[in-house]
Amino acid sequence: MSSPSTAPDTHARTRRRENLTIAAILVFQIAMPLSYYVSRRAYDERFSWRMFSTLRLRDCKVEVKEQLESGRTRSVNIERDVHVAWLRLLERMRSAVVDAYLERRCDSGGVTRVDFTCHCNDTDGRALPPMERSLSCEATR
Amino acid sequence: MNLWNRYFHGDYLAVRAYLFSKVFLCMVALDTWMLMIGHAGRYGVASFNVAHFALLQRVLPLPTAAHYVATLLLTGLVALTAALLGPRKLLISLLFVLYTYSWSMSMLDSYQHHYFVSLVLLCMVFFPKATRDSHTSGFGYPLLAATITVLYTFTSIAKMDAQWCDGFTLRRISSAQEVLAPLVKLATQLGISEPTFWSIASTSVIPVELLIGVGYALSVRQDDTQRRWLRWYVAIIFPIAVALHLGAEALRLDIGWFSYYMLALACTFLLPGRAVRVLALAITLPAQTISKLLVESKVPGRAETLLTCAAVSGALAAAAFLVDLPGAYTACAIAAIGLWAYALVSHQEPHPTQVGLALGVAAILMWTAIAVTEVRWDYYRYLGGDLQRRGESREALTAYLRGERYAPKGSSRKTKIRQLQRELGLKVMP
Repeated sequence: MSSPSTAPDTHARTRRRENLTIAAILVFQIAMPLSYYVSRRAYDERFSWRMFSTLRLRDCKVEVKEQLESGRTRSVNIERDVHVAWLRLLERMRSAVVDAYLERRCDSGGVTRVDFTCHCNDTDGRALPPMERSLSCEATR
Repeated sequence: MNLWNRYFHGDYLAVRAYLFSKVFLCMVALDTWMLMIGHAGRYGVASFNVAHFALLQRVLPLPTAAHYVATLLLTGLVALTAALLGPRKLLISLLFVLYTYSWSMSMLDSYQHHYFVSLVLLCMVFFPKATRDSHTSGFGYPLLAATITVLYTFTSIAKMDAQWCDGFTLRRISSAQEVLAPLVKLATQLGISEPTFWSIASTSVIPVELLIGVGYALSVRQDDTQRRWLRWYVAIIFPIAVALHLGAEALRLDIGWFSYYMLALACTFLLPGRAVRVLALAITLPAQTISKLLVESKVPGRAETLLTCAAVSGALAAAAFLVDLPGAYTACAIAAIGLWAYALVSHQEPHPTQVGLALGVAAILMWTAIAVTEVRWDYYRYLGGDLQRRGESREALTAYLRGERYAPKGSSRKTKIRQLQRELGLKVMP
């Protein structure tokens, strides 16, 4: 048989547990978008609630070039290589996608280096400095 | 009781949580079946994928179209079953996991509102049980209000940049120039230059979103307070929130059903209690009728239960066949196995027969939802288009031919099909 104090104790424990759950969910929800502003992932707007952001409406063109073992350089036709939806993410400079794509090109064989360039015009039509990233395939092997 | 406890553990009208859970779960089911499936052809192409989280990328197999479709079909089935049975912790938790997995398996789905739906489902796990009392408490509902406040606050902050405030971004949004043309003309007649109009229109969104955010935060207390200013404030915010989201729809933005989810939230949280009651009665009448049948039928015996499970499994198999999408059989098989497992081990509410009937209704609605929309046409034509772009003509032809069965009037891909047949040296269709 439970003592008279058990019910209030259980209630208090349940309430404490609930409050901790609430606090954890709220902290997570605030930390996710806040991390966008305090970190350096400027091009990765996921979970930041940046609806209709300027970034998404920029006009961008992506170019990927790879150096072959023969010393020759060739352009990659991204649309023929992967689904065109990935090209849209590359144009938005989504870091994880850019990194994975460069690694994929390195894995395609006979490639020693991959260079990625993204040229964008801002929403007011102004050309922005090109964004570049390179991967030496030696480093991934 | 301190402020925190009053806010998160205070009373509110039970009908608000009830209405929202019914409507929202139905919307999630329809969204997965009627909208999200259309893009499934992107998954697994050329064995390239990047998941939203590094851990998922490491532990999960490469998602394919079938994998993605199966997840979505199952998500919809669970959502509708939960809507019919009334939200249950276990079902909503399962739904939260399935739905979150559906978008997080690949960055191909980068819609922020899918992340938002996951957060809503997480809050719904802590919703109160349906009750006949007029008031209820439970922290899921206030937590959802806080979640929406966080969303509006951050989306407002995100607009505090020069490009947005100068109006360049708004002008570039889809059909903003066309939709707002009459207002631009009016502004010009009043002596406001076009750039100034766009700047004012853009900048005004920032305080509007902040005010709506505050409205949601306060709305939780409106049923349990004597403060008239609070009720008035929330009531005034309702038309503003509705106008904002109808405006977003008018601009024809590519944001799926986000506006409709937000409208459902506005009706639940911001309308006065009496209006929510009327709305709940009207909207949930069909679901209530079905639920009543499921809940109030006499407790069936073992044989009836097994017979129901067998019949529902048959309905699921038929739905899988008729849906004609990869992954449909997997989804329906998992649902059927889940039902049988529940029937064999469960000794608690709801009775397996009720779960079976709800699942059976969900399976029929799944097929109906897919059959009346163009989602299969979208799936096959997008798939065909991508395969053709990547030089896989034979597979592209197969996808286009399959899609022809679902082509709406005037949208046939016969020209493309003939072109591919000629290219492949096959007999050209008439």
